[in-house]
This record gives sequence, structure tokens and C-alpha cells, in this order.
Amino acid sequence: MSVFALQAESVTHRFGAVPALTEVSLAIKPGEFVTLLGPSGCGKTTLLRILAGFIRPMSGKVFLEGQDVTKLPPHQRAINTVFQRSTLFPHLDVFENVAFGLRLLRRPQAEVSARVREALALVRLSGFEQRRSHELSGGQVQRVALARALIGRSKVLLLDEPLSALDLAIRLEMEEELRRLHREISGSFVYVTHDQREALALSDRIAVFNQGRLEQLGTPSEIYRKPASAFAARFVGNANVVAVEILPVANGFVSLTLGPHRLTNITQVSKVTGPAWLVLRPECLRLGEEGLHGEICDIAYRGTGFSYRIAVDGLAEPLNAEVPAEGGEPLPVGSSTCVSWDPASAVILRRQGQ
Amino acid sequence: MDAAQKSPVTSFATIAALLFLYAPLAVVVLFSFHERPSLSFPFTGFSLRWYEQVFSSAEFGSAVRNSIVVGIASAATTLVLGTMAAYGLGRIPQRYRAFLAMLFFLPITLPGLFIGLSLLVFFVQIRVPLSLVTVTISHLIYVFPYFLLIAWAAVERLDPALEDTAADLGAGPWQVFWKVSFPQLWPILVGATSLAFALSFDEFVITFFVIGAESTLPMYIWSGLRRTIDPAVNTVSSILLLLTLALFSLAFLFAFGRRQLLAKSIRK
Repeated sequence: MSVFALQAESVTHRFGAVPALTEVSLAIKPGEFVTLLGPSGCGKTTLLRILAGFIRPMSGKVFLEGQDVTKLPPHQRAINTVFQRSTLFPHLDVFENVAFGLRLLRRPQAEVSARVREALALVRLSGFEQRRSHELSGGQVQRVALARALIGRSKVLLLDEPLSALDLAIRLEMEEELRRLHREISGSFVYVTHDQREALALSDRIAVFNQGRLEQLGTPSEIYRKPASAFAARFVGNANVVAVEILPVANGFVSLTLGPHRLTNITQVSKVTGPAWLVLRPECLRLGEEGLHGEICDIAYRGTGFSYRIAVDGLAEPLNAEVPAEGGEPLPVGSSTCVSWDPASAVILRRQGQ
Repeated sequence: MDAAQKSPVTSFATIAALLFLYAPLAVVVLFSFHERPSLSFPFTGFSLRWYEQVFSSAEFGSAVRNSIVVGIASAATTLVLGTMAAYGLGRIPQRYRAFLAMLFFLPITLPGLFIGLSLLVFFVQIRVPLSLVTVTISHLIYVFPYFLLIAWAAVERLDPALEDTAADLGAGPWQVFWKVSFPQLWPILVGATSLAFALSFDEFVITFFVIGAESTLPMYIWSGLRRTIDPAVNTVSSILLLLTLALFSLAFLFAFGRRQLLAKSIRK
């Protein structure tokens, strides 16, 4: 049996009467970059704080390299965290901030200096030793916080939305830094974010959370191509999720009703019959002469293409379509068009109720 | 706002108020240097004779010593208890907090006369002889809320994320306090402790009830006034004024000057 770097086993927690996490199990392999993704209030930060030891779960267990650490306080766990709004100790300079963990262990000065220098080099802040936190930019503060968390060489690094307070340009740069750091130090990273783009760009695996439950766990492309739920489909990649009825197979074709429309051979195979969700990625929709008739109600130019919102007859919500520009001009708002898609690109999910 | 600042009426009112506040003090200080025992104008010339008289008096020496001992003892006890109380107030559940804070701060609103009398009755009831110890205990009750007010505000301003970060990096609860919280708090605690000392140093009303046979500096001044109008009273008052001013300046320098510095570095 392989030993996981970090493992949560049926973790459940409530704040008062409000359930925050329900029966969440998640195992992180050594060296893996796992992202906990979900909207605010979905429980992802609660899980991170349980893993770090700041919250003791009401039930369930946490294992660090096979050891049960559920009852250990944060300072006795070999896990380090970079918090959302990192704060450096205001009475200490950058060097002493990074050295904090080693000073607690009373390491000799020569070792402390060498490891601080190494850690600062790792986050590309060599020469910043004497600075104070008010002399650093937001991105630099996060780098110092990273160096401070990495210096203990713990096997697992937890990151709680470390980039959310930064400007977009710095965020993209820091994403690159994080990927590089992850390659260089070969530890496990557990990363919390509500930004699906960040999750897709950084992770080996993504855990999608919704209302305290783990909705789906998989590689970024699995999550994107094969969402396990309507929520995951909508949250990752802004898919169109349409309520449909799958009709029993007739003549070898699958057909479905979509509002007033009846479509045949919409996907080649479907294990589902009855109420279902039809998931259509915006970039899989085509505009043209064939398909469902609708009217364009909004256009946004994206450089590489156009984002259309199309009000399709009989559908409550307009569909989002991403169409390559190919040098042309967009269809004007108010013009009518038809929407179609390659059946192979559509995903059918079972739908309960409604 | 600019118009109000420039108006001659407000300027006059401000100057008049300041004069009313400080002119009597200036007169006391001035006459402490008077060459004759007369306490009223005209002022005829400077002399240090009252200072010489005061400093050579054994009674004055022991009063100063007593005031310092009581001041240090009550301020030091307040520092320890008040810091713990400030931490406690920040951490107990919200629903008890207001009630507990009210109990802590109530002594500020009670008249000194009432506190002094009730302490006297209490000490007599439990048969504790009146001494500098009873004075120290009484001063502790008097200065504690002022200290707590400042210390609590400082503890509330500490960023809890810093404590989490320290714990995450391996610091146990004591290490979190000494390595993270205390280095941020100490300037304010020094200021609040100086304030506690200064308040104790010139406290009169409560001391009057619980002091017994000993004397503190304010008691010494009062006894000087009671017999005759001794010109040395001006001198002792001036010394008390100077010491108290120095302590309050120290308190403000640490508690408020440093706070801005600290706030600046935290805000970033």
C-alpha cells in the first residue's frame, strides 16, 4: 500500500448548525499538486484549515504520511501554510521572517543564514533580507511568505488562495513561479482557489467542492471534458447546462427533447434516460444555417474569437457560444442564427427532480 | 473648518481656556522659587531656599520613597494582570464579553471617595492593618481599568493571522506570545504601565482612607497645607507636577507615538 502524503478520511464539520463539510475523503500523493476548487462558502478553506490543524473536525481523520494527526495542533504538524492575505511579522525584517521556523528550533546561525539565503533564492528575492514588510509589494510579500513556509522543508505545503489579493499581471507571474517551485522542491501542494482558470493552469488534480461536498476529483482535462455534475460543468469552463429529456432508444438513435425541440442522434450513446442535463461547452457550439433557431442578444470580442449570447427559442437561459474570429466581423446583435454542435462534444448527465 | 480656525473668537476662547488651565500651575511653579515665604504677588526675587528645605526634610524623602514603591508595585501588578485580562477579553465568547468588560471598567465611573471608604471598611472588616500594602492594593483597583482600556485596544489590533502563521511554523502558544504578540505589544504596554504609575503616584482621595500612619507625596503636600500655608508646598507640588508630566509624556510617547509607527507597518 502506498503511503499518501496527506489524506482526509470522511471529514465532517459544522459551524453551529451550518454544515461546512460532509463526509469528505481525499488522498494526496507525494509530489502531487492538488487544487480544492469551489465558490466561496463551499468548504474548501475549512478543509484546508482542518488539514493544517486550525480546526478539529467533528468527525473523520487526517493522516500525514500515514500518521493520524487529527488531534495534533498546528505547531506539531509538519505542514506549512501560505495564507490568503499573508502577513509578515511586522517587527521582523525579511530575513528574520523567513528564519522564524528555524529560530524556533534553535538551529545554529550558520545553518539559518545558509537556508534563509537558499529559500530567498528559491522565490527570487535574494538581496531583500533587510527589508520590512511595508517596503515590499503584495507579490513580494507572498514570495516571502512562500519562502517562510518552505524553509522547514515539510512534505506538504498548503496554499489558501495565495494569489487572490494580487493584480492580474502579478498573478500570472506568480502562477508560473508556483509551477516552477513545485517542480523544484518535489513536495505536495494543496492549493485552494475559487478561480477555475488558476485551478486548470496549476493542478495535477482538481477537487471540485460544492456546499461542503466533494463533487468531483480528477485531472484538469477530465474535469473539463467529463464533468460529473451540472455544478462542476458550470463552475469549470462556464458550460451551457440545459435541462433535457432523453427518450428511449429507437432505431439505434438516441433522441431527446429540449424545451419544444426534439433532437435525434444528439450524442451517440447515453446510459441515461428520462430527465437529464445536456452539457455543451461554449467553444463546441457552431452558428450557421442548421440547428436550433435563436437570436443573438450579446457579443463580446475576445481577440481570438467572439463570445455570443444566443436566446434560443423555447430555452429559459441564453446559450454561450465561443466562435473563432477567423478574420471576420461578428454577427450583429438582434440577428437570427441557428445553433448546432458536434454530438461527440456534448455530455449527458443524470438529472434529479425538476 | 478653515474659517472656524481663523476666527478671532475661537482663537480667543482657545487661549483663554489654556490660560485658565495652566496659569494656576505656572503660579505655583513660580512661587516655588520665591525668595520670601509670601504666597502672593508681588514676586520679589528668585531663590532655591524652599527646594533646599524640602530636599533636606526626612519626611519628604520617605514620602517620595513610599510613593515610588507603591507606584512601582501597583503598576507592575497591573501590567501582569491587565495584560492577561486584555487577552482574556479578546478571546472569551462575545456574549460574556460586554458584561465582563463592564465589571472591569466600572471603577472608572465610581467616585474616589466611595472607593476609598468602601476599601477602608473592607480592610477593617477583614482585619488587615492599614499600610503601604493596603495602599498598593487600592491603587491597583484604581489604575487597573485605565491600563486595561489601553492594553485591550492594543490586543484587539493584533492580527490573528500572524498568530496562526506563527503556530503553523511550529510555535507553541507561549512562543506565539513571546515571539510574535509581545514584540508588537510592548511599546503600548510600557506606555500603559507608565500611565498606571503616574496615576498611582499622585492619587490622593483613595490613599487618604487606606494609608494609616505612612505618608505618600500627595499626603505630604496635604499635611503641609493643613497646618499652615507652608511655602514649601509650592515646591513639593512643582516636583510632583514635573514627575507626573514626565511620566505621562513617556506614556504618550510609547502608547501613541509607537502605535502610529506600528499601524503604518501593519497597514502595508
